[in-house]
Amino acid sequence: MKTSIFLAKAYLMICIIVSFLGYLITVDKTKYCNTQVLENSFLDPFSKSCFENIRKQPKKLKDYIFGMEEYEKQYKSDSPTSNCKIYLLGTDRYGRDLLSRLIIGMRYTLLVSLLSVVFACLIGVILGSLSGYFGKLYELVVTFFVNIFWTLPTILLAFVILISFGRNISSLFIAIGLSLWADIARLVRAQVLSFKEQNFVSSAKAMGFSDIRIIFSQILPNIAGPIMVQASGNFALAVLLESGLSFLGMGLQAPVPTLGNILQDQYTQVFNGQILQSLIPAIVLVLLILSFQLIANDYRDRLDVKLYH
Amino acid sequence: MIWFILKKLTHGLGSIILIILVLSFILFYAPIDPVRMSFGQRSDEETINLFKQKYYLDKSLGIQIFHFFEDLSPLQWVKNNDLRLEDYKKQFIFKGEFSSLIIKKPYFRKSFANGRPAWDLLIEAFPSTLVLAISSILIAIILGLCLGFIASIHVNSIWDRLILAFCSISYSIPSYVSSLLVVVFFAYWLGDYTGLPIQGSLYEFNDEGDLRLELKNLILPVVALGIRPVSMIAQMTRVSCLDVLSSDFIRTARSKGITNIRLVQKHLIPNCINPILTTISSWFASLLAGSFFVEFVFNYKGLGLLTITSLNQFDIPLIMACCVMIVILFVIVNLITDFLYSFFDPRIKFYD
Repeated sequence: MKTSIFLAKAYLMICIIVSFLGYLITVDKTKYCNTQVLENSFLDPFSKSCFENIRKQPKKLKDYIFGMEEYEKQYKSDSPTSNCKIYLLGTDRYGRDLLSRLIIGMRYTLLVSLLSVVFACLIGVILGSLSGYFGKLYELVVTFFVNIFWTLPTILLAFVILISFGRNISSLFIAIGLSLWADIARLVRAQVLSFKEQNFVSSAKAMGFSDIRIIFSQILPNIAGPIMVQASGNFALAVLLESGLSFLGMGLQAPVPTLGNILQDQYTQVFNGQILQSLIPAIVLVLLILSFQLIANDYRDRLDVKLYH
Repeated sequence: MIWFILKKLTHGLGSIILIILVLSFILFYAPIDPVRMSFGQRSDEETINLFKQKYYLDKSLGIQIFHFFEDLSPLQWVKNNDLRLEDYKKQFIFKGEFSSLIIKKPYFRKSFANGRPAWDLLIEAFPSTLVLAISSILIAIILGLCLGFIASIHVNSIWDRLILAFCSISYSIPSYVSSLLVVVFFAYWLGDYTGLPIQGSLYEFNDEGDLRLELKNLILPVVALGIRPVSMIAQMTRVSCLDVLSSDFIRTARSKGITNIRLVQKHLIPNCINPILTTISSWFASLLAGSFFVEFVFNYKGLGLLTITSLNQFDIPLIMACCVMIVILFVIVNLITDFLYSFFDPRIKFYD
C-alpha cells in the first residue's frame, strides 16, 4: 500500500472516530459547544483559564450524544481554582473552545456530506438504471434532466434551494445531492446499457424474472464498483460544497458549527496576527478533501474504471 | 452549417427557458414578501397594493410566473393601462384602443435593495468578472499545459512525481482557502515588499471620487482562482499526452525519422487536445459564472459578489437576473467549445 493512501485512510478514520465520539471527548459539553466567555475571546493555543464556579457535567446518555441543553454563565477568576481548563487550540471571538467546535463541526460536515452523497446515489442509481434499462420515454426524460442539471452551475441551484426552503440540514443535503446526482445517473446509464445485452441478463429474462428484479439483483451488483468510485469522488465534492456554502453564510446557521462556519469566523484573525488559529480550520478541511480525493483515485486505479470519456 | 448553428441556438434557448422556469418556480414559491423587502416595514397600504397590482404579486403562483416571463419576452401584447408599461424600454409596433403590441428590451424588474434596474447592476458588475476569468484561465492554461507536458515527457521521474503531488494537493484546496493563503503570504507577510492590497475591486473610487482602473487589485484574485484549474489542466494534459505517446502511430512517425517539433505539432497536439479543451471550457464557464468565493474574500465587485449579496438580501429580481446571466454564459461557452472541437480535431464534424 502506498504511503499517501495509508495516511489518507488514517486521517479519514481519525476524523470519523473523533466526530463519532463528539461530546464524549470535547472539553465544552454544551450543545453546539456554545459556552461563551467573552473575557476569554481570541486566546492563543495552550492558554489556561480558571473559573470561579464549577461546571455542570452531563448526566444522561442523551447529553453525551447531542450535548447538554442548559447553558450556564461562567465567571472567570484570576487566581487558580478547582475548575481550570486548557484551550488546546485557543478560542474564537466569543471565547468558545476552538478544538471542541472543530470536533462537532467535523461531525456536522461529515453528516451533511454523507446524507447528500446517499441522496445523490439514490436518485442517480434509480433514474440512471431506469433510463438505461427501459430506454424510450424514460431515457428521453432522464437525459433531458441530466442536461439541465449539467447546464446549471453546481452552486447556483444550491443557493436557490437554500434561500427558498430555509437553511437547515434537510434542504442543505437535498441541495447538495441535487447538484451531484447527474454524474452518477450518467455513469449508471452507460454501465446498464453495456450490461443489458449480456447473456446472464437474457437468461434471467428467459427465466421470467421481473424487470425490477433483474435490475436490482442482476445488473446493479455488477456495476457497484464504478458507482462506489464515483460516490467516493463525490464525497470530496460534497464536503467542498457544504463548507463553501457555510463559508458564504448559506449553510447551517450559527450557532451550529461546521468546518465552513468556523473557517468564516476565524479567517479574519489572520490580520490580528493569529495565523495558526485562522489556518487550522482550513488545514483540517483541505486534508479531509485531499484524503477523500486520494482514496477515490486509489479505488479508480484498482478497479480500472474510466470515468472521464 | 447555418441550420446546425440555429439548431444549437434553439436548443440553448430552450434549456435557458426551462431553467428560468424551474428557478422562478422555486423563487416565487419562497416565503419572502417582496413588498416588505423593497419598501421596508413602514409603508402605507396604498403603496403596497399598487406595487402588488403592478407585478401581479397578489395573484397565484402560475400567474406570477407567467407575468415574469412576459417581462422577459422581447415581444409582448399588452394592455394600454398596464402599470408596467412605464418601466419598459419599448417601441410600439401596433397601437390599439385598449391594447397594443410592443417590442422591448427584456426587463428584469428593479432591485428590491436599491431600486435600480437589475440588468444595469449586472452590466456594471460583469466586466470585472470577465477580466478576472479571462486572466486566470490564461495563466492556468499556460502553466497547466507546460506542467502536464513536462510530466508526460519525463514520466515516472522525480519531476513527474513532484508535479503530480502538487496537482493532487492543489486540486483539493478550495478557492476560499487558496485565497486566504494567498492573502496571508502576499498581502500580509510580504505586504511591505509587494504593495498589494488585501481587498479591492478592478474599478475603485480614488480620493477625488472618480472611478479608476486598479490593475494591481487583480493579481491576488487571479493567483487564488488559478490554482485549481492549473492542477486540473495539468493532470488532464499529462493523462492524454501519455495516452497518445504510447500509441502506434507515434512509434511509426518516430521510425520515419520525424523531428520532435513536427511530431508535437502534427501528431501529438491534434490527438490530445480534446479532453484538455473540455476541462478548460468547463473551468472557464464556471469562472465566468462568478468566482463566488474569491470575489467574496477579496470584496471584488463582480458577478459573484453581486449574486451573493442579492441572495443574502433576498433580492429576488436581482437573483433571477444573475441566474439568467450565468445560465446564458454557460450555454454560450458550451457552444464555443463545440466549435473549437471541430477546429482542432478534423475527425469531429461540427454538424452531425
